[in-house]
This record gives sequence, C-alpha cells and structure tokens, in this order.
Amino acid sequence: MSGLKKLLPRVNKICILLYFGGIVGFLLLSHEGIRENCYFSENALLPGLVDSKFSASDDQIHNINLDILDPNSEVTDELEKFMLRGGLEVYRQKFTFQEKFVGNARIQNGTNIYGIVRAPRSASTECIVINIPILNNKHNFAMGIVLALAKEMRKQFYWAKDVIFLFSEHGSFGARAWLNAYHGIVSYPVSANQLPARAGSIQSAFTVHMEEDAVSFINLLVEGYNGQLPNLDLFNVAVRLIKIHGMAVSVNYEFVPRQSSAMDDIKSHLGATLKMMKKQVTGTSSGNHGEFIRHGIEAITLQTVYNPQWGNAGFVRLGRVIEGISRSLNNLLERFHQSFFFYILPSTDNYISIGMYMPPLGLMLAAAAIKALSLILEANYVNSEETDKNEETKKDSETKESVEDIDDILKDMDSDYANKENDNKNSEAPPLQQILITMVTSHMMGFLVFYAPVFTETWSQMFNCPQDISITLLLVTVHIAGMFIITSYRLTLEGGKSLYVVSLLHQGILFGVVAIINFSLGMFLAVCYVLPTILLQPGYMKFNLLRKFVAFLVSPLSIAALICLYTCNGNPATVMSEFVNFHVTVYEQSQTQQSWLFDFIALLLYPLWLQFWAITSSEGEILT
Amino acid sequence: MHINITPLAFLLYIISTSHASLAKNTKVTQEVNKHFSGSSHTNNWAVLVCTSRFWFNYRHVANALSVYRSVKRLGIPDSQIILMLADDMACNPRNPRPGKVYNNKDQAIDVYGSDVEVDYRGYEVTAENFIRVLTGRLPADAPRSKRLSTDDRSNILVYMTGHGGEDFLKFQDAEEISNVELADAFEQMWQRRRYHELLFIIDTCQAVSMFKRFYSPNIMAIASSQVGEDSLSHHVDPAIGVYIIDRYTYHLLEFLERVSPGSKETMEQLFKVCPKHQCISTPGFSTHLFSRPISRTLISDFFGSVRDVDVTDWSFTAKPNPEVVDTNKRTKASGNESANRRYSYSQQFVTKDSTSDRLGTVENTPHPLVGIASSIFLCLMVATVMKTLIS
Repeated sequence: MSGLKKLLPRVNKICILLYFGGIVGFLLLSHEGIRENCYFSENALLPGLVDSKFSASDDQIHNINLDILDPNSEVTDELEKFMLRGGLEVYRQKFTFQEKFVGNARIQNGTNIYGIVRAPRSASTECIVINIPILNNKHNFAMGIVLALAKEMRKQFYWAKDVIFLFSEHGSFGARAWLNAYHGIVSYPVSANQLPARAGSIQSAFTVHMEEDAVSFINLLVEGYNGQLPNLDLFNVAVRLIKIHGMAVSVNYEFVPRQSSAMDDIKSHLGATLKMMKKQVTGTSSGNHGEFIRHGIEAITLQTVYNPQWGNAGFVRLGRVIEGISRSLNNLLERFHQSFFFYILPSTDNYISIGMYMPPLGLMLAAAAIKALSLILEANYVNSEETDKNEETKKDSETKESVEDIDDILKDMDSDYANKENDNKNSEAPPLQQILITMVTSHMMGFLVFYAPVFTETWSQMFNCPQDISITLLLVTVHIAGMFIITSYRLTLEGGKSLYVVSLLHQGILFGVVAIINFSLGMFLAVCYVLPTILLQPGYMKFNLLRKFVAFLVSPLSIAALICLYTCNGNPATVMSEFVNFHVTVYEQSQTQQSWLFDFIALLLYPLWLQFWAITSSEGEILT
Repeated sequence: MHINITPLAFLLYIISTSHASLAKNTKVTQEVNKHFSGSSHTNNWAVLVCTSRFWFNYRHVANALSVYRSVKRLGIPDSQIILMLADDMACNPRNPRPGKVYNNKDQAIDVYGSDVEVDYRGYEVTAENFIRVLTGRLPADAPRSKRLSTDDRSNILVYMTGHGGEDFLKFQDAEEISNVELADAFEQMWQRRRYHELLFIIDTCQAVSMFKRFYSPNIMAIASSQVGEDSLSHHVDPAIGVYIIDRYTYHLLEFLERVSPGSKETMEQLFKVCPKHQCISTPGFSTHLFSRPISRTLISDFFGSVRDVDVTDWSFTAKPNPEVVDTNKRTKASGNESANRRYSYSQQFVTKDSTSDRLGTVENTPHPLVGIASSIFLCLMVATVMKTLIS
C-alpha cells in the first residue's frame, strides 16, 4: 500500500508516459519486424491455379465499348441488347433516391440493369455478383470487358454458382436499391421496386471501376461504411490474381515496396497506414462495395488508374484478372470466414491485425483509467485521514485558492434551464446528484445538437441565407449555447472531482467501444482527447483561462475548424467555405449513407466533452 | 566279458545312416521351399479409402482411384475391392471435365472410367463404417459389395489417404479416427481370423503416427511422411485448376506401372519408392510385426491376385488323414455325432510343437544333432538289451 502512495504524486507522469507509449507503439507497428505478411487462410480458394479462358481481343472489347457509349442510344438499352445476345437472363429495376438533404433536396430516378449467368450443373442457391457502376458523367470502360466475359462464361460448364452482372446507376444508391430489394428490406432515402428475379444467396461480390480507356495499374479499395472491411482473404485473392497477370497493384494509391533503409521503410509503410486510417475515420465507403459489406457480403472495388508514362496494360489482362477472381470465388464452399475482418493495410503484402493494433490504444485508454483510479485512491486516503505529505508532493497545475465572481457568471447565462438550483447552495448537494444533473444536461444538449439540422430551412428563411451556411450556423450556435448552459450549474470541488472520475471512465469506455467498431475513429479520438483530459484538474487554478482555452480546443467544433485549417493550408478564404462544407457533408452522409459519425458526435462525443467543460468551470478550492 | 564288436558296428552303421537320411531330409525341404512362394495366402482383398471431401481435395480422390486402377490391373477383382470415396469429384459442378478424374496433368488416364465401382460414397464414408467394414460387424442387410468377406487365408491391402495429423486421420471434416482405434480394429480382425497378412499404406501428413500403435501380428505398414512432416502434392493441372496428385502416390504409381502380374518384385524395392529428395517428406516403414523377411515378400502378395502353377519334379506319398470323414458317409451318420463334434480353427502357421499335415510348410526341420543324439541313445539301449540277452 505504501508503494501505491508513493506512486500517486507521479501519476500524471505515468499517464503521460503511457499515452506517448501508446502512440509510439502504434507507430512501430509498421516496422518490418512487427508487421506480418498476408497469407491465405481459406484453402478452398485455390487462387490463380487454373488457366484463363478469356479469349476476346482488345479490339473486340473496344468496339463493344463504342457501341454502348453511342450517344444516340441509352446505355441500359445497349447493355440489355448485348447481354441478350450473350444468352444471359436480363432484368431491370427502377428506384428513387434523395441525394441532397441540405438545399436542393429533390427526389431522383435511376434504373439498374442486371444479367444472370445460371450455373449449368447446380441448383441456383448461391451466386457471386460483379458490379459495374454506370458512371453518369464519365464512362465505365469495364463494361465492354465484362460483356465479353459474360458471353464466354455462358459457354462454360464449370460454374458452380450463378454469376450476376449488375450495372447500377448513381453510385452507391443504385447498389443499395438493388441489394435492399434483393434482401427484402427498406432503407430511407432509397426506395426501390421489387426485383423481377433473384439467384440465391450472394456469397461474394466485387466492383470494377474503369474511368479511362486504358489501364496502368489497379488500385484496390477496401473501406466500407463505419469502419467495416471485407475479409482479408478476398483482398489477398485480388492481389494474387492481379500480380499473376502481370499488372501492378496498389492500395490507397500507395505502392509500398520493401526498402533497404529501415527509416525509409517504416516511413513509407506508416504513411500508407495513416492514409488508410484517414479514409476510415469519416465512416464512409470508398466504393460500391461498402453497400455489399453492409449486408454481410464480402466485397472489394478494383479501380483502374492510367498514367500515360507507365503504359497501357490492355483490356484483355484486366479481363483475365476479373475472370480469375470469379473462378477463385467459384471454388468457395462457404462464405469468407477464415481470415481477418479487422485489420489495417500498410501495403498490399502486409497487414496489421486487431490483435496488434488494440494494445497501443489500450495503453492510451489505460492512462485515463489509471488517472481515474488514482483520484479514487487519493480521495480514500484523504478520507481516512492519512497525513497530508502526499498532497504536498503533488505536482504542477495546482491549488490556488480563489473565489469566482458569481455575478459575472450569472450574466453569461441565457438559457431556459429547467433546474433551478443555480445558487451557491450547491455546496450542500451530494456529489452523486451533481454528477447526475450534469450528465443529464449534457446529454440533453447532445439531443439538441442532433435534432438541430431539422430546423435548417426555417433558420435559412429567418436569416435569409443559403441552407448550407444556415446548418453550419445552427450547429455552431447550439454548440456554444450548450457550453454556457452547462456552466450555469455550478459544481463544487467534491462534485467536480467525482464528475472527473466518472468522465474519465466514460471516455475510456466510449473510445474503447468505438475503436472496436471503427478503429481509426477510436484512435483519432484517443490521440486528441486523452492527453488534455488527463491533465485537467477540477477546481479553480492559476492559469484558468489557459486551461479553458485548451479544453475548448478539443471541443468537436474546434477540432472541425482545425481540420479545415489543415486541409486548406491556412488560406482564410477557403477555410470558411471548407468549414461550411465539412458540416454539410458530415450531416448529409449520416442521412444518405447512414454513416453514424454525425450521430456519434452529437449524441456521445459532445456530451462527454461538455462534462469536461463543466469540470473546468467548477468552483472550489484545492487544498495545497 | 569281452567287448562284442557287433553292437558297436551296428551302432556305427545306424548313426551314419540316420545322419545321412536326416541330411537328405533337410536338403529336400529346402528344395521344396524354393519352388513355393513362401506365403500361404489364397485370396487377395483391397480396402481403398479416401477420407476427404471438397473440390480442393481432388488429389486425394485421384490418389485412391489410381491405386484402385493399379490393383485391378494386377488382378484383384472388383468383388474383392472395397472402394470408399468421400466425395464425387467427377460430377462436381466445378469440374471442367465432367465424369472424369485424372491423376496427371497430361490427362492420359481417366482413373474414374466407366467401370469404376465405388462401394462407399459420399457421406457413407465415416469412421464408423470403415471400422465396421474392417471388423465385419455390418448389419444383416448390408449387401455383399459393402462387405469385407475375408478369411484367415486372405492378404489384405489397406490404402488410406486424406488429411491427417499426429495420431489421427480426419474423416470428411467432421470426425477423426485415432491410431489406437485403428490398431484395435486390426486386432479384432486378427482375433476373428479375418486376415492372413495385411499391408497398410497411408499417404497423409504425419502418417507414421498412424501405424505406431499396431500390435497385431503379420502387419506391414508404409507411411508417406514422418511425425512433424507434411506430405506434399506433386503438381497442379492448370486446365482443371487443382493439385492433382500427391507425391508419394505419384511415385508409388510409377513403381507399380513397372510391376506386371507375376513379376517377382519384392517389398524391399517398394520401400525404396519416393526417397526424401523426391518426396520432400521421409517415408516410414514398420516390419517388426511381419513374420516373413521383406526380401522374400513379393509385391504381388498384396497388390495382385496371383495364382501360380508350380510344377515339381519329385513325388511324395500323401498319408490319409484319419479325421477326414467321407462326405457320403457323413450324411448317413446320426445327428448326435455331428452335433457333438467340436470344431476348431486349423493352425495357420506350423510351430515347433504342432504336427503338420500340409505340404511344403515344414520350415522347422529338427536340428541334425538331435537326430544323432537320439540315434546314439537308441543304439545304446539296443546294445544293453542285447548284452543282457546274450549274457
């Protein structure tokens, strides 16, 4: 016990050490000796063992593409014609969707068209889907390849599963409409008609995205919605087959070869890791495959990139890659389940699994937990009337007695706060009551932020400004209002300390849970929040304003502002529009794509931050 | 009394003649043994088991079918082969050559063919059914094609392939058979006189562990890899897209292709098949339970059904066996006699203390010195009797 007592004064140092230890540990994961090589876990795949039978030529595919992209006819009609000629069963589906929620909110129409190659010798109980999105402003040149491939597939009899060629419009909306109708569910804001025909349960899928007439290398996109990822075996299959057919493959546009110098090697791999995490933080998918993953169907997007300096690999090679992936998926007996579902990719050949990346985060969250524990222990020692020499050796940011000017604070209040206990008699309220009141208030403010965008239109009419600015202003106003409302309820020192302990534990649990679902978001939040919150102290202290400023700096609002500053490189004109854009995008994504980033920030992160903000303005003396 | 010369001379004469006759007997026995095969089995059976299913285990089915082909070619009829295949590769919807199974990428031989007879197929290949087949404990309505109707003069070849580990063999991704169970099954077979000699070949990973626990006599075992080693596949057929055969079985087949019915290849040569530099894994063998030397055990004792005709150039007189009753007379005999008659198994192998009524199996000739000692003793006895009579 005496050992613990000796550690208590140094608890801040320990926590800071743990925090930086966690960060360094995470950075080291990209090191050569620690990251692991990708390997196949599913024996049934047999990737790349069979010879390709794709025999169309580049010219033939080029001609098919020209026919489809003929401006005189509809793309869907041409596709139907080609698929019928190839002997496939062809069906259409109409759907409607709403793309924009902030301003210009109108319902749009779209059509999906799909063809099915039935398996000749087995019952149509399983299928794989090859999704070729019809790009509205550009052309998807993979259509020609896939139509030639479909014709070939129809002639062969070694397909054990049905193959569906899905040509979807309007990006992820089309894919979502088709999948919802396929599985019989409805999700706002997409509404789709029933499908004329199905083909059994979908085992796996992939999307091909070819925006230009030529291809130099293939970039793989893996991120799904809200941190979901496809099974690593599907990624391995795609990488293996692309390499077998002599093309280069990248993930997140990064080619990360092993480098001789250890510093360069770890820097390049770390860069790729952070790029992938950056993409995952917002919780949106990088391609149509995200819609499939949402339904539990492992999917990946192959995006081709053309660089004239690197030459053209040709349509036929890409066709062989698509055929090879399909044949490998054809060999599957069960859905993907053997390999990892949670991972980060520093390169196409390496992965970092959840077992490797969770411990550094755990260290960082342990810092918060240890700080909370130390506070509890301190309180116990004080209560059991042990000597004060422990508190004498407590560290910096300490103990200045002063009395707050109550009147100044009362003037800042502008709320219709229901709770009437707004006077100095709070020193009599037990700490538990104070904690409860503060937490309930902060979560109510969170609900306000969550429902605020509903009033966008009324606000824009009232203040006569465009809707995107109005939604930004609305959110900012509610945010700041919440800050003042929460500080109107004065916490005593006891209450402040108890709330601090509760908030630290609340933070640890919240970030831990988020990290399990979306690790990038959890890690980002931990990096931003853990250090300031460890160093916080309830009660009045010397550099109070500085402390409040630091606390404000980690509020969701200022983090958004800082991100916009960073992306605009400090150019003031664009920062404002970027700021507005940021809020609009985050809100819209939560509505159209059902990513829960906005909901999370409004309902969970903001109340948590408000609790810390309340602690910084708690009154009371800290005994020296 | 003076020493009588006659008994001594008589004695010497008897000694010399007995010794000579005994020596002549030993030489005859050796001559006799040279003409006969050394094994005393009368029929051959084979149990060929492939325990794994799924398309990516194509090579295991190809292994079992290739051995089936060789064994049929060398003479064992379908009625005496039990073929157990856990999955149907020929009709798998992924097979680009429907109805055919190949064991080589040149696709020269279709080992499935139109005359294959699979006795246990698909989900019928379980550890329980396998042990029931071996021990003969099948339900009364099991058809003859599913029964191993062997007797005490049957040589059995048991070939197993699939996925294995240390001390177990996996059946169909659902269950396992352990080496202890297998050894006990073979012991049941021995106690019920269901085999004469047994050759056990296993081509899986860590195969040696499967025969480690055998304790029944007359079993020889060959395994494709040691404990801790994996048995590897040989090559890929890029037209079909699977690994098509395993290394040990590939080299075993190369060897068996040179064996024709009636050839004199011995087990010693079979043991040399697929050394480490070809197989990557090290094959293992077990011969300590086998009674004959492997240099005199022919391949055709297990892989073929060879019925030799041996022409001898010497004659012997067969003594009538007083126990054998004329069948005509037996039917007239009273029921009591046949009911009271006690049956017993005939001796399989002649030991030193059993009388032999079989030709050519007298391996244990008495030691020549015994004959000399007994003749000396006899002469002494005769001499003393004569002396007493004379004096």
